[in-house]
Amino acid sequence: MKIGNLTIVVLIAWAVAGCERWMRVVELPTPDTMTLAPVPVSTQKSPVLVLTSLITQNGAPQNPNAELERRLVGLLHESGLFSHTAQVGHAEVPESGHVQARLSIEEHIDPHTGQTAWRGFLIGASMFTLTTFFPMEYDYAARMTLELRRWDGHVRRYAAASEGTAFFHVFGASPLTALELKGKVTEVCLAELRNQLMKDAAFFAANDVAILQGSSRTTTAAASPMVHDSSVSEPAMPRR
Amino acid sequence: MAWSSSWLVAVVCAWALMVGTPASAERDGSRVAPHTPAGTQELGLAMGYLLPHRLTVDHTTKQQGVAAMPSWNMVLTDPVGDAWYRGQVVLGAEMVYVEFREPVITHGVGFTPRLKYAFTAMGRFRPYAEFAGGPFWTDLANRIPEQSTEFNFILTAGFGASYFVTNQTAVTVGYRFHHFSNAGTRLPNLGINSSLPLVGVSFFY
Repeated sequence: MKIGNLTIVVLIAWAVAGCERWMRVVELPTPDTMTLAPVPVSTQKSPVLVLTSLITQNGAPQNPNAELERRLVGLLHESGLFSHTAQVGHAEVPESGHVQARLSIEEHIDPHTGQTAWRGFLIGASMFTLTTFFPMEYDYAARMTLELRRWDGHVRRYAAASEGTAFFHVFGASPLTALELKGKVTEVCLAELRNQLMKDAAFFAANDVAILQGSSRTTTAAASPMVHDSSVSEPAMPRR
Repeated sequence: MAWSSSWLVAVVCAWALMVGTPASAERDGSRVAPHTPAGTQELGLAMGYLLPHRLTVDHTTKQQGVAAMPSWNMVLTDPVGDAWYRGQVVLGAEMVYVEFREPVITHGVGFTPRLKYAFTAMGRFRPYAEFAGGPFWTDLANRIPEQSTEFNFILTAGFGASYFVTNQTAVTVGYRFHHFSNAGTRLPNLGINSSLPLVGVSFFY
């Protein structure tokens, strides 16, 4: 009887351990905020598109992430540095006095496919007894660069980076694991960008000229096609 | 019993189709492949009929019967590869129940971890190759000249194809080759070999 109870306890503990999953997320150091030389502001009517994003995944360009752009717009709105935040198509953008923002995201994903396959083979061959000894891993890293161009042409660039690893045992696997990891890494990067923006609040303070022009500082966001022109001196035009 | 097994398969398939609501896949106008990233889990039920193979002159028994195989599987990897061989590695476990109707009515039950490679390059149509093995108990063994122990091992290799009728439900048609033996723990141990055509249904979540 005692051996039977002990066996049951061991099996339950093994089953519970086999369902475990956990994550490790770290923030990576980034270079200091850069100030670039002012560039002439076009006298023509400014384009409506203000926030663009460029995402690469393991070096390959990806479609823009509208949800991430909305999160960034929300972040900029919460910072209180801007009087109005809106998405293109939902609000009018003033002809002058707005801030253009461009977000570049470099993602690196390593699902450890080969290692996972071999560990799965060993776990299966062991009749799942080695489940708790071979956790699976999923790596995700992101580096975000936010470039803000003020109405007078001055540009500031902010950067944040973070990486994380999700660990899970076979019975604890779920498609949500990778999404949760990406969410946490993204949140770390966005929080760091917000902190840098807050420290640089004076850069976005309205000057007398802007007030006299009756301008409102505005950021807008749009899910635009991939942008390949990353030059600071040229406006970011959506690729058609 | 064979008729009741057939009815069970039909009821399960009908339930799966209703739960899966095929119309929803058409309403959104999507013809893209179902998304089964790493971590996707699968519950399945397959049924088939064992057909004997007497591979040597010493094999005299023509065993056959119905087999039912509930299973659990987990997608281990995201799709790998870029060509026709693009696919995912799947790890799972399966219970095997066999009711031998020939030469005598006997039963067999086993547990087999399973490794499968599912090709994902063809959208909703996903061929696969699989291998499984594990312990198998049957009271047929000591009633036939080929086997002497009730405790044996089962080795299975096979292939088939799944078709996603909805984004979460798939029907499967496949073939397996079964081999039962006791790994030489006691003689005689000629082994029992069978073919198992099967149909099944799986639910992914």
